Amino acid sequence: MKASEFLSGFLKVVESGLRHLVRKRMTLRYPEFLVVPAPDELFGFKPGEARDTNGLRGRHLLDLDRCTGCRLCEITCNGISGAITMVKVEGQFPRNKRGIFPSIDYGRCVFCGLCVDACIFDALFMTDREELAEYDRAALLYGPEEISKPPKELPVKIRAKRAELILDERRGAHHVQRKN
Amino acid sequence: MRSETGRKRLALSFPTGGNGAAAFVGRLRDIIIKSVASPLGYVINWSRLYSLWPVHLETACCSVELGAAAGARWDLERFGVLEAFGSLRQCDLLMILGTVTRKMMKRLRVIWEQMPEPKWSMAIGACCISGGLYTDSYNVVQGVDMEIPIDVYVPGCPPSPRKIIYGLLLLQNKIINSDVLGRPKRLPDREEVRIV
Ligand code: SF4
Ligand code: SF4
Ligand code: SF4
Repeated sequence: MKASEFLSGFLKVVESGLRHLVRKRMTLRYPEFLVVPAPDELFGFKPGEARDTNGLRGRHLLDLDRCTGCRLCEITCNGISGAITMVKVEGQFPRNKRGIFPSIDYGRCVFCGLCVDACIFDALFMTDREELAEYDRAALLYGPEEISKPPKELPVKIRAKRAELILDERRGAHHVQRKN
Repeated sequence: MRSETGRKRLALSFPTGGNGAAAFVGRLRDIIIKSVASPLGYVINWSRLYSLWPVHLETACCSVELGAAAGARWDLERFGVLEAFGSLRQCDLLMILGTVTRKMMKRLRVIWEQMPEPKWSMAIGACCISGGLYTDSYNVVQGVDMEIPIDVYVPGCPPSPRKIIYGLLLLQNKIINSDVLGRPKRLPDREEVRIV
């Protein structure tokens, strides 16, 4: 190798290194920041339009007042991973005389969203909560009461602020905090 | 102070009785641990937090998401998880990603036994937590926790990088609440989870 070739190669390396000094950081600082594509919409099925709404497929949300206990979601899920089992809930439910509601085992669920499509009574949705990791297996089993409440806020220390992706040709793609 | 399982583990790794040298080493280890545990415990655990070297056992599709998590956008290396490791004997985190068949389970056990203490494990994806899509399959292990202890379960199929990083955060919270030997003193609540 000639000395000039070596020198030009060396300069190229230094140049690309220096360019990264002025470029913005691509990394999304996750526990503090988070990009959510459609934060205001739940993933659900619109029977009238025969389509799903946009949204992330995360933890389910069950409407106890609308669910009739028809077991359609359970039958659907049995063909996939068997995550849903129907359990009895104490109390009076005018639309659900037997009082059986789906409970979901998140150790089995594959977040396909087909149970949401199967529910013709508009009772099952999916929220954008994906932080479902647990220390023990039993905690992954969510009963009807648990999935009927919207997910709790994340702990203050790691609460993810909403960010959005900026595609900047000159300074590189980066994330900034969303205003709203 | 030491729990029953811990005592058993200690006895397993250092067989006493019959072998004088091994017994002496075992006793020496006890003394060193006892003298170091209380003053330096927090510092030692803190230094473990950000140098988790994983064995990533990638048997199926979930491994793609670990690749995504290690990329520039999510960057697992911020948390000290360095995906290039030299040997199992230098690793302290076992990440199981994917479908574990019965044949693979034997190898998984061997890998787990080869790693030195203290060690932690994460079951990532529905397949290795419970069988997932292969529920009732004749050759897929219905949950790796039947065979090896699991510290953090990360559900999903596949779990997004976001879920994997949150699982890692839980693991770090568990480590900082452990004693010097890596046994948890108590499990932190979900509300307490923080960036350590
Ligand atoms: S999302 Fe899929 S796997 Fe999960 S409960 Fe619904 S149908 Fe079952
Ligand atoms: S959630 Fe929907 S599909 Fe499932 S039992 Fe209730 S009404 Fe039926
Ligand atoms: S959990 Fe889903 S993505 Fe992961 S290995 Fe199993 S089938 Fe593949």
